[in-house]
Parts: sequence; C-alpha cells; structure tokens
Amino acid sequence: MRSTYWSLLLLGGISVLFTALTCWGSETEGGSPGFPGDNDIVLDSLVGIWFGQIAAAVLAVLAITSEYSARMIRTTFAANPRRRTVLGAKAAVVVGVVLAVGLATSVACFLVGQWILRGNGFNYEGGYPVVTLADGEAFRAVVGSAVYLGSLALFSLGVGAIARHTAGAITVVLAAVLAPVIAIGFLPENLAEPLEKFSLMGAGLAVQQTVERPDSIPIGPAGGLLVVTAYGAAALLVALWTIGRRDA
Amino acid sequence: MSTAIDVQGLTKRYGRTVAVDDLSFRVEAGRVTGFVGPNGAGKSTTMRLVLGLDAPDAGEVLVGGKRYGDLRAPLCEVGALLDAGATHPGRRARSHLLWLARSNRLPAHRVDEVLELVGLSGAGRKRVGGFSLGMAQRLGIAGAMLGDPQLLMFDEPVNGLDPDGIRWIRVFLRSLADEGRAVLVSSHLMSELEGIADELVVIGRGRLITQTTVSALLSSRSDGRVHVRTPQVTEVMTVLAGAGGTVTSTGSDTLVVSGLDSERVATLVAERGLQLHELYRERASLEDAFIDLTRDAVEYVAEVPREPGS
Repeated sequence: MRSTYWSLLLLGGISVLFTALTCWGSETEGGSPGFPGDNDIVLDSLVGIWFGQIAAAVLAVLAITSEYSARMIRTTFAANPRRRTVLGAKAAVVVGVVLAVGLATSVACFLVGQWILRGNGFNYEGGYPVVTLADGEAFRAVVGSAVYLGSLALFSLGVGAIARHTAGAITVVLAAVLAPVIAIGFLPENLAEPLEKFSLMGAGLAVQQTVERPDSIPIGPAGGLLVVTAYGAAALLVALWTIGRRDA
Repeated sequence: MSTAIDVQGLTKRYGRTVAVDDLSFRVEAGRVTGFVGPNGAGKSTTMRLVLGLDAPDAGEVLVGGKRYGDLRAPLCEVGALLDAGATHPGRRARSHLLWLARSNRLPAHRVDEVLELVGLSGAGRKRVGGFSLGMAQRLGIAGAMLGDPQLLMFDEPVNGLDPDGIRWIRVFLRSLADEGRAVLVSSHLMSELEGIADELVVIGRGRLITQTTVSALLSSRSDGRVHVRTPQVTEVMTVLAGAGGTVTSTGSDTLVVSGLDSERVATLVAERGLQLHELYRERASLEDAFIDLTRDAVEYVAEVPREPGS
C-alpha cells in the first residue's frame, strides 16, 4: 500500500533530520580530557527517534484501521475466518518492518549525530572520548531505540484493532506517548517519578541513557525495555481477545 | 452430499432490534434459491451470520454440515459477494484477487481465469477505487469464484447494474445452478429473480414467512382473469355473462371476464361465430405475490400516490 512506503520514509527521514538539527545547535565548552561535561552524547544523537516515532505509530495504526474504514475487513475475515491468526500475522509483519527500518534509522541517527557533535566540540579535547557502535552502551542505546519503535508499533496496532477507527486510535496512541511527557513538566517530583518510569516515552528514554545525571530517568535500560514491551504485549493481547468476539 | 446451507433457529439482536428472529431454512444444491424480503428484513444480516462475520445470539448455521469458521479453505467451499465496496481502493484489481487467492492457497492462474470469467481481463491493472459500480460487482463475483466453490451467496448482486449487466448476471446465476452448485441470491425486488429462481425463502422483520417453490407460489395466487378484445363487445358480453362469468367493460372494444377460464371463453365466442381479436389470461406476477406475503412485514411504508384511472 502506498501510504506504507511514505510512512517508512518519514520515519527514517524525520528521525535523522531532527537528530541533525538538534546536534547542530548543541555546543559545549570548558571540558578537558578525563573531565567531561554532563552531556549524554549518545542520548543526544538519538533524539531524532522521538520525532520519527510518530510515523511508526501512524503506520502501525493504519495497517489495521484502513481495513475497517474501507470495509475490506469483511472480505479478509470471510476469506480467513481465523481472525486471531490474521491479527498475529499483521502484527508480525508490521513489527518486523518497523524493527528493521527502526534499526537502520537508529544507526543513521547515531552516526550523523556523533559526527556533528564532534564537530561542535564534543570531542576528546573537550572531555568526550570518541564513542562508536562497538561501545557496549552505545550499542544498547541504538538497538534499544529500534526495539522501542517496534514495541510502539505493536502497541499502535493493538490500539487500532481495538478501536477499529483511524482517528480515534491515533489520538489514543499519541496521547499515551506525549501526554505523560507534558505532564511531567508540571507535576511535583513524587508524581512525576512514576510517570517517568512507566510511561512509554519515559521508559524509552531510559533505554537510551548512557550517563548518570541528576535529571536522568530513574529506571535502568533493562527496566525501560521491559516497560515498553509490556505496553506492546498488553495491547496485542487485548486486541486478540476482542477481535474474536466482536462482529466484523 | 449434505445440505449446502442449513439454518436452524438463528437469532441475532442489535441492541433492542431483533434483526433475525428464530429463522430456519435450507438451501440445496443444483438450485437458485431466492432470498427475498422487504428492506430491513434481515437478509444481509443472515448472510453475514452464515459467513461468521457476526455471531448469532441463538441457533446455528452450517455450511455443508460444518461451521464456516471450521472450514480449512473457506473460499473453496463458499463464494460470497456481500459488499462490492469492501476493498482497498488503492489496490489494483489483480493484486486484490491475488491476495485472496494466496490466503486460501489457490494458484495465481485462478486470478486470471476468474477475471476472464467476469469479463474484467483488461482491468486487472487498474486500481479498484476507480471502478464503476458494475465493475466492482463483477470483481466481487470474480473473487467469489476464485476457489470454484460449490456454494455461492450473492447479496443484491443486481444493484446498480445496467440492463446488459443484469442480463449477464441472470444467465450466469442460472448456469451456476445448472452445473450443480447451490446458489443463494438475495433481493428485495421479485422482478430481478423472475425466471431464474427455483425456490424462494421469503422473510420479513427477521422471521421466515414462507419457503416454497416459485411454481407453487404462482399457482396458489392465480387470479385467472381473462382479457378479451372484440369488435362485437355487446354480444360477447351477453354470451359470457349468460355462461356465468362476471364481465366488465374496460374500453370501447375490451372486456375483462372472471369466473371463466380462457378455453371456455374462446369456445363460447367461437360457437356464436363472434369475432375475437385478442384473448389472454392474466398471469399472477411474482411481485404481486411477494407484496401480498410481506404486506405486514414492511418496515418503512411510503404513501403510494393514486395512479390516474385506477
């Protein structure tokens, strides 16, 4: 379907673009070898993912809701009455594609980001040794970002299958991703902390962190991955349960 | 060889509306079964229940002795056209059929075969969104025929077709039944089914009104009025009235007689040596029979303006 290609292109393009823009504006001074400033350059170079994720979410929602809006779902379910299998197959394809493109995007963001940052003073002299993908933490951040995108896609697909309505599903997904982030800015510490740990984007950010800072997300990267995949799995399970019960 | 479709006590409610109410009927192979009823009678809902698109609240429906959901390759047993618009508009016709074929492990050449069957061979590469209603219906029929199924279900296939298309479908449906397949065609217009349906299942407000053959329905409804056109109107009127018929004059040279069959009228007129220019017997129409049967079950009735002269 044509919109699929556009969404994937947007996913890759927007992510890299925003990484580039953010890193371009990023500067540091005053450090020296062995004494880095407190920028998390890996985190910074992956910032584009947070913009590209929207394309991934929309793609996944459309993968299922477009069938309902076109009434195609009747044809699909008449030809394939085993609905759970159909949903499972869709999930596998969508998540697989998003993982693959997400990984490529993530790597591209990292490389572009690192290259630009180094030009802006985030280098050995400034206290930031060169980081490559061979570095364990950077590798984890990059691959973890791809896994985040894949889980987000799974979550979006599940919401789409439950809502069966494009605008409604996209609204729910975007709210789930963005509302906590906005709320964290307003809430007091004790309420903001659990939101940071257990919201989609908060947990996703945790996967990308490599430097311990006062404003770090208070959950480790493994915990972050767990939260994110839990969202995806929960949405899929509910969708599988409802799809067999409702009228087409 | 089990019954093609076996509906038993089927009931389906949407909120407080009972769309299908304890419906039971059977569809057999080798026949075209017309599924008729006024708008909103529950025809489309029943078909959706057969295909497992909706779940019944009570009762069950079996296709070839099995539930639809238990069929391994449903397209090879049941072909259905319920909604010609149920396609992705951006997809090409051939891709749409190819996807359907693959989902039921049918070979790709079937796609070309059914496209040719319905006369859409040249339109394979066009996007479905650009199809006219007639083309979309044909594409739906092509999809239904992909698996060469023994049971076919069509929901109002004649809707939106031009006379050429209507004629083609009628011949096509008839040929399917003659090949031994079971064909269920739903319609809210009896005239569409005239000449092709062998059996009728008439429903109204979700309930079965009757299941009967077309010939039985027609013969039970025969009015048998005889129309006569003659230059000697007065004489003929006298003769026929004298023989016991009720005669009404309907024009300067036409009469309508009830109570005598056409053979008797012809004999009487001939015995007196009177001239007869036209003689025919009114045939009960399926449409009148249908309206009579479903009179009480019509949900939405519009006022019929009185025709001048009726």
